[in-house]
This record gives sequence, C-alpha cells and structure tokens, in this order.
Amino acid sequence: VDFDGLFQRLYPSLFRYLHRLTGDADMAEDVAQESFVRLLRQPLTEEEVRPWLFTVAMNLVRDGARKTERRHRLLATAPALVTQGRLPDEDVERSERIEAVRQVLDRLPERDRQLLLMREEGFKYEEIAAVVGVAPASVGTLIARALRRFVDLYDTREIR
Amino acid sequence: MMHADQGRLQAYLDHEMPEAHRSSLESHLTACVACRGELEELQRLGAEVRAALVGIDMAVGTASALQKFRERHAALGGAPAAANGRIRPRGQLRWAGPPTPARFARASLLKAASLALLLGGALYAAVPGSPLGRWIGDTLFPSDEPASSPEIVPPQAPVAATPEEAPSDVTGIRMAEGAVQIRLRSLSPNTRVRIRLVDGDLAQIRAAGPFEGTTRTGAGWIEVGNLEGVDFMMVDLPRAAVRATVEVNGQVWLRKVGPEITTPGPVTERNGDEVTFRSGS
Repeated sequence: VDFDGLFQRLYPSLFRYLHRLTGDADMAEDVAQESFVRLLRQPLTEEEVRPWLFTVAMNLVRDGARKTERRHRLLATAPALVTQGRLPDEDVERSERIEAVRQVLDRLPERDRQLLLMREEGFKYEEIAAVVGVAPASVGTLIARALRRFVDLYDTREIR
Repeated sequence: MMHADQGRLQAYLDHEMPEAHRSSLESHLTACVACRGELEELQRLGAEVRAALVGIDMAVGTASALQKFRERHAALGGAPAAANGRIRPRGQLRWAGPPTPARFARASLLKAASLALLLGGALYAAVPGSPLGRWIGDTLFPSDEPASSPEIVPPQAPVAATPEEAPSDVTGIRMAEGAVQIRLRSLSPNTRVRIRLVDGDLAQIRAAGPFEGTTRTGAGWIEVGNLEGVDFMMVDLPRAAVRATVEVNGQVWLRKVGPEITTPGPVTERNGDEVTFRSGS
C-alpha cells in the first residue's frame, strides 16, 4: 500500500476531526502525526485503517486531556497574561462564532461530540458504532438526539 | 405503517437504510405530514450543525504534515516495529521510509545495473558495426524491426484570448442538507475568481485552461488544490443553498446564509448575481 497516498488521503480528515474535537490546531497536528506513526506498526487492511486511526487519535486526545487537566490545576494560581489588539469587525464576528461553536462542542457529552464529528467525516454507522461503543442500530437515534442537543445549546448561547 | 422514529429518519437521511426500507419509508412520507415534518426538522438540524462546524475549520497543510511525518519517522529510527498480531496481516501497510544502509546499497546496485544497460545502449547506437556493440544490441534489442517513426504530436490548441471563453476542467459537488462548502487551495497571486449564483443543487468549479488540480470531496464539500498557474476560475454556487462558503487559500471569500451573502474576500467587481475577486499579490 502506498503510505504517502494514504497519508495524503486521510490526514486532512483526521486533522479536521481532531481540530474540531479539541479546538487546538497544534494538538490536532501532534495527535494526527502520532496516530500515523503508530499506524506503521499495524498490519491493517486498507479498509480497517480509517476507523483504527480515528480510535487511536481519540485515545491520544483523552490521554492528552488528562495531562492538560493536571497542568491546568498546577497553573490555576498563576495570573493569566492577556494581550488583545483591536481586530477588524469581520474577524471579531468570526472569532465570536468560532468561540460559540467551541463552547457548544465542549458542553456536549463526549459521545455526542464523537457521533457528530465522525458523521461529518463520512463514517458509516457501523464504523461509528465500533469506535463509540454502541449498537449500530442505535446510531441513527443517537445522532438525531446529538444534533438536537447541539442546536439547542448553540441557539441558547446566541440569545444570551 | 406507524410513524417513523427519529433514528429511522436519520438513517434515511444518512443513506444508512436498506433499499427496501427506503422505498417503504418514502411511500409513508408522501402520506404522513408528521413524519415529513420530522424529517425536514432533522434536515434543518443537520445543516445547522454542519454549517457551524465548517465555520471553525482551518486550512490543512497536508504536504508539510507529510514532510514532518517523514522527519519524525526518520528520527524514530525509520523501520516499522514488528506487528503485534492483534489485527490480521492481510495487505498490510508499508512505507519505504528514509534510506537505510541496506536499502541504499540495494538502490545503488539497481542504479549501477541501469547505468550499464544505458551505456550498452549508447555504445550500440554509436558503434553499430562493432562486435561488442552488436552483441549488446542483440541482447538489449533482439528485434530486427526497423525503429518506428517518431510520434507526430498535433499542434496545441491556441489559448483563448479571454479565459472566460474557455472554462475547461469542470468539477462539482451536490449540496448536502442545504449546505455546500468550496475550498480552493494554492491559488497563485492575481488569480481572478468569479462566483455566481445558479439554479439547481450543484456547485461547480471551472478553471480556465488545463490545470492539474487535485480534488477531494465529501458530503457537501469539495476541495480543489494545486491551482498554481490557473489565472481564472468560475464557481457556480446553488442559489438554494441554506449555508455556503467559498474559501480560498484558507480564507473565507464568500459566505451565504439563507439569502444573505457576505463577501469578506478581495472583491474587484459585482454584477447582479456575480462577484469577482482577485487574489492578493
């Protein structure tokens, strides 16, 4: 299998998924890179690669989140240094919108987040079920509920 | 038929329903206002979530990521570790990776053999009468057939004076749940991009003249990269799109939410349903 081709095909989707999931481009890139490094050790068939990559990436994000949480606890007493220049209106509007979406994603249960983001990357229900750990027959219902929760949170936040 | 539950309707929208069930649900939907309403609601939610998610995306640098990956892999020692046997070894992935001494030696041998063949060919061509030349010739080119005449290349078609007249390569994507996202990557400076609203649900991209763009697509999105050298592009955007964005080199140039259109990109001209942009120099 042409690994370069595989990387070029799967990296953008994995990066987008991780960036949406974490809101952190550096972390998304690191995790995606590490997932591909680990992939080299796996004798997988081509169709198994994508779900495997996303599962490993998700586990790495979880591990990273635990470490970050510990670090944040240590830094909690340090004063935050904030510098803010003036942004054009368009950029302000865009960053507010991004912040709103990020907050909604952060407030969703992890399972909902995974369901929505994997669906957006075009995974089949069976693959989503395997990664998330639910029955394939329940994926449709869970996605519908997750969509509703996302929009409710988004709308509520916008009105505030 | 009883009312369809949310899960079935969602599976229907996501094309996860077997054909037989689809047909039966479709007949139910024609008769049941409640289920149709529920389906439309799910469609609306899906489009809203998609538009929100697309709005937080940023450009992906796949080429630089691949380079970084190669460097990282080389730093880790190059060769893949042994399989752990957890997953069956069929059609397994391999990446040649950076050169190792053994791989370098193999490659050098191959290069030396190729060079010898080339030299032999050259000698045969230069001294066709010599016994060594004849032997090499017979070995390398056993046929006595005369060399075929050189292929006649037709003259290239003249380039159109105005690129608008010759939009050649066309690629497109259908909206997904009312949303569509178009991303153009690696566009050179001073490239004009004209975006216009069209009827139907198909978003199309045309480049003037031949180009070797790479295309990636997913549900409701299309990304065309490698656009260096293209000096004019046309993008057809469905008028009916609930949410649409056209992003160029990682920047949103046009955003459509319902009937409202905003153009944060470098606009040079507006004409009815058409907006023309020019990438910065």
